[in-house]
Amino acid sequence: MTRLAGRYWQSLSPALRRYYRASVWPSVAFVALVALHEWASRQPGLSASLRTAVALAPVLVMAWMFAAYLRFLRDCDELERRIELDALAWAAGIGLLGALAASLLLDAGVVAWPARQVAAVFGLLLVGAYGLVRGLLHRRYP
Amino acid sequence: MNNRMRELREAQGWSQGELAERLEVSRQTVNALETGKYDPSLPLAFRIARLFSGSIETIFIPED
Repeated sequence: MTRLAGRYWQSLSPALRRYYRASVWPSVAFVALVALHEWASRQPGLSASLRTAVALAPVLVMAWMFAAYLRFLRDCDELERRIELDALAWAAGIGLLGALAASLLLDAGVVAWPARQVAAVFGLLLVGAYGLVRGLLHRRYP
Repeated sequence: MNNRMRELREAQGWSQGELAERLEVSRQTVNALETGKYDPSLPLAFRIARLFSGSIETIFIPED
């Protein structure tokens, strides 16, 4: 298992290895801050300013991760960049169509989804579409 | 577009990984180039031609 993981790690490009290494701490911080946010949102005694700070802290960490991703995009080779940009374009298109469909259905009164659910599904749609298209493109270029 | 990259690499006795290191690209890119699934940018085509001491026209052959 360790050998398989080692071979997988060696098969990655240096830029992707750097990106994965750079993503470790933001990922750990993100999980910890989301857990803190979940706990804080159940504490009625917290002030609104503290609640706001705790709620927005994971966004800052995600910006840290995004900066690492932009560095990866700059450092990677041209085929890798093409795969990433294709995946991002597909994810943006699918996300936009999903958001448009949801907003029109909500506006027409056909559905009554809570805003929290819509935001979560939109995020999942973006990340899921990016991951799916990226995976398919990597299979096309083994 | 067809190319002679695999033939030239094998003549040098290099693996795909070794060629990738020399070109500063991933092994995945070398494989995609050799199998004709991906056409290189002009700067990369020049790097490949320089590495194999040839010209772009002798390495990359248009299909038409």
